[in-house]
Amino acid sequence: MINDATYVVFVFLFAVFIAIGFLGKKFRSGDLSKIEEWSLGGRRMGTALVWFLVGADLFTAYTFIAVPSSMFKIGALYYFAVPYVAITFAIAMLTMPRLWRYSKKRGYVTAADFVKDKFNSRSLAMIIAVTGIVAELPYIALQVVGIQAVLTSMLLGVANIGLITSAAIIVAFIALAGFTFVAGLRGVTLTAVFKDALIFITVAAVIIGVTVAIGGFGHAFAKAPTFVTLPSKFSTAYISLFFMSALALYLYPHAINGSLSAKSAVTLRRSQSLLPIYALGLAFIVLFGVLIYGVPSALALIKSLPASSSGVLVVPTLIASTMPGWFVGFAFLGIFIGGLVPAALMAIAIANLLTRNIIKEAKPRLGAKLETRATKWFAVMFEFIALGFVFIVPATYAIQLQLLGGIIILQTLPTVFIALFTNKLNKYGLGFGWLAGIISGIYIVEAANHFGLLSTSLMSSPFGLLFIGATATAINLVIVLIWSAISPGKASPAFIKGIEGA
Amino acid sequence: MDNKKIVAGILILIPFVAYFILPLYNSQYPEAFGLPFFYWYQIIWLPISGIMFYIAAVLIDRGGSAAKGRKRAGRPTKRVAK
Repeated sequence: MINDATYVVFVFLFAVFIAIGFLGKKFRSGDLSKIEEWSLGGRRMGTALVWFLVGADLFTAYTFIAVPSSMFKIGALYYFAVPYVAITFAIAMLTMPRLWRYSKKRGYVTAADFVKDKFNSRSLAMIIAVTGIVAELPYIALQVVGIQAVLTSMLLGVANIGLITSAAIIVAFIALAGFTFVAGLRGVTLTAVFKDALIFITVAAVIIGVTVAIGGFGHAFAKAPTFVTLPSKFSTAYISLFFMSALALYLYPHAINGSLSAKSAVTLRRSQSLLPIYALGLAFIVLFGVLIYGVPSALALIKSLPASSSGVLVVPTLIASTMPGWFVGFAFLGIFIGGLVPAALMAIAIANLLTRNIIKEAKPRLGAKLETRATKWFAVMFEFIALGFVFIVPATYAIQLQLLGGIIILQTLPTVFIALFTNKLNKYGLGFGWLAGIISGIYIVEAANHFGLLSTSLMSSPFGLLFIGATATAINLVIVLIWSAISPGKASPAFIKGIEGA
Repeated sequence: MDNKKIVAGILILIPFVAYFILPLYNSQYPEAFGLPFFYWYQIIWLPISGIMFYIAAVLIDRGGSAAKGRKRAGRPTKRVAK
């Protein structure tokens, strides 16, 4: 239930959040005019902090809002989020520590830095940077969608709800941009710990509270009998979705940025290996999409809303209709900053790509101080672009672009992941593989949706329904591997020499 | 490749297998706390994966640092031999 206590707790905890963000500046302080200090926290984060930072930034407001909503509407198919987060960390612990070692020795801040150095190719690096930015922007925009959902639920029935929600989001983003600018990654890391504490408590309280109140999960599943198992026509879709998503996650700039902030490769690997445990929270929050069937008042409220907004309101509605007012404020703030914290890291990550791998190519003499200053301003700029995006285009477009984003980012897999393990890849093969993957991916998505609104990322195949990201990546890989087999590439001598010297 | 890395590889692979055998866990029974098998099976594999990955991480980095140590120890003798 929502009452005055909800608002008081929400506003108070938001003030605490912002204070923590600004105080981050002093945390293990360093010279914030250096890029490695501002955007990688000086590469000094220990196992626990990396765990919170990476965990917090992978399980975002969008995850907490959209996945349970899809579960609510479509059912067990969306439980693919669970195996996805389990095995994505196996991929992370095999790839990221190696990238970390190279980065430490060669001073990389982004994956594109590695590509440029390894292949001695500025164009390939730019391709990777642009792909990262394009795939990441809708992801930031979706954080705003998640934030909007919380505010909409909290203010339901209040006059001028649209205006108040917009004003609140703008205030929140100004505060966020403020501490991103001042404290950089340190602010993001500390607020991530705060956010995680709120989210974990919320998930535990709702799961225990609601299941006890409605008499167990069985009761909710009894009301939603089609959700009990996965319909067999979705088998290949399920496996291809979780496997390809697991491969995609650590290609996103924010995941790489978070990883590179670790203080050592060993710290990073240990912390990532333990992240499947963090995912327990996600496994239960996705079940909110089923639990709501067992709570008649929440279900009635959701069904009374227009279809366009009811989709994103499942989790907030369930919390609001089952928990006491002060706790609703607590939980809502958790989801609210669950959008802001990742948005900040994503903005930092793509600002790095823009300055280091695009602007610096045009203006190579950019000094270190100017580079950091430019990156700080670009991070702020990206935060506001994402915000503006949500105000200008409807949320459904952001969701569609995000769907394409996952397929697009996968096309950087050979150039970033496979290149970590072999020197034989041919850079032209990588470029053409990327191009073929992007074109085929976009075309198949459009065709699967009959060139209309994008609602599915699945295509039919001889094996059954298949995630389009798998097909596009397979086309890309075939080109890269055949090309490199015929004409093996060579890593640049500077790279080979650099990673061998200690 | 040393034994530690092989064990680490197997530990990393097991959770993949556990999640790939979808037809084997896509069923309602046995239920736990009202949750169908499909769901709780995937949930309990999260902590199991975490533990297996952690052991693998420790094994990989031990193997790695030991190999590095050998390499470092080997270098001066090589130079002397030259």
